[in-house]
Amino acid sequence: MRTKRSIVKKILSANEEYALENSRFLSERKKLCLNMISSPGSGKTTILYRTISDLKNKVRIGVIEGDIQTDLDAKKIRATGAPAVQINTNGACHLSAAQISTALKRLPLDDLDLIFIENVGNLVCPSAFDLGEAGKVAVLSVPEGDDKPAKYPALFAKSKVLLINKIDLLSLGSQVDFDIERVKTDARKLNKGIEIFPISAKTSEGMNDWYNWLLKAIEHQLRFPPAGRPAG
Amino acid sequence: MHETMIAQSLLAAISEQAKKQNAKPISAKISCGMVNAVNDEILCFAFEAAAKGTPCEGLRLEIEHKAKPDAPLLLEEIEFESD
Repeated sequence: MRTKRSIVKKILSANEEYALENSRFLSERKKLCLNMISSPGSGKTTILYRTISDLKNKVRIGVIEGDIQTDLDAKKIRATGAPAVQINTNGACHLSAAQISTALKRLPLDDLDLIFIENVGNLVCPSAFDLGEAGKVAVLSVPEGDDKPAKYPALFAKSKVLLINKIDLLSLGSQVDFDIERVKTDARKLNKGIEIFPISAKTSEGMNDWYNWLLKAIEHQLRFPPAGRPAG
Repeated sequence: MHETMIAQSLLAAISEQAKKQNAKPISAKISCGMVNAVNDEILCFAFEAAAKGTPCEGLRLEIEHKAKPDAPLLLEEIEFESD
């Protein structure tokens, strides 16, 4: 005999529970936490290095670094004087909320205003796993091409901010095939409210707009409406 | 690759229901939105691998992609076979 049963149960509930717990833990302490996601090589670590150094006298920043192997990125961040906790996923293509729960307890949270999570370099998987952050920050760099929001929509649809990095390369003119307006249009088609900042972490161009957004977010202890339901 | 983790959570949820019903699950319907970035072929393959040797082995997955981009990932229905 065959019978069908309606269930309606959220999947990924284990990750979701940890994400909710992290979110509660952070909001109780009034700490802003942002989850930075991009392809490998788009400049996440350089952006963080620059941001931490430039805002040194204004904001106390801590970083959770996610990488498949090595603690190279955590070392780079620690060179700024900021605390950094390295997570090695040993092959996994994204961070999960349980790992963040442990890492948060290894940071000196009382001395911090802002926690960045630098996710494993990957344009797809990390966007499917909420970590309890207040918002996701997507990074797309000029050499990756202007078709990425259209081709990899999930991340851009869920992010609060899009940083378009390496815009210094646009000065190479016709050697670089990148239509920044196309990126903006495609990203806004997926996500009306997304904040877009064209930057170069190398030359500092555009970084002030990003910093102003960050300062405002911290100042108001901004809790974004979930950019997707936890683990949704 | 995130489909592996989704497959494991899905397997746990279906197994739990199967235990409650004391019946063999033969198919399950799930739904998702674009933000879940689910590739049907990869998820089915990952589920098949995860379910090997469990009562869910051989289960057929039916995946519905909802129009709403941020629709949550849901297990909606399970079909059981019992004596």
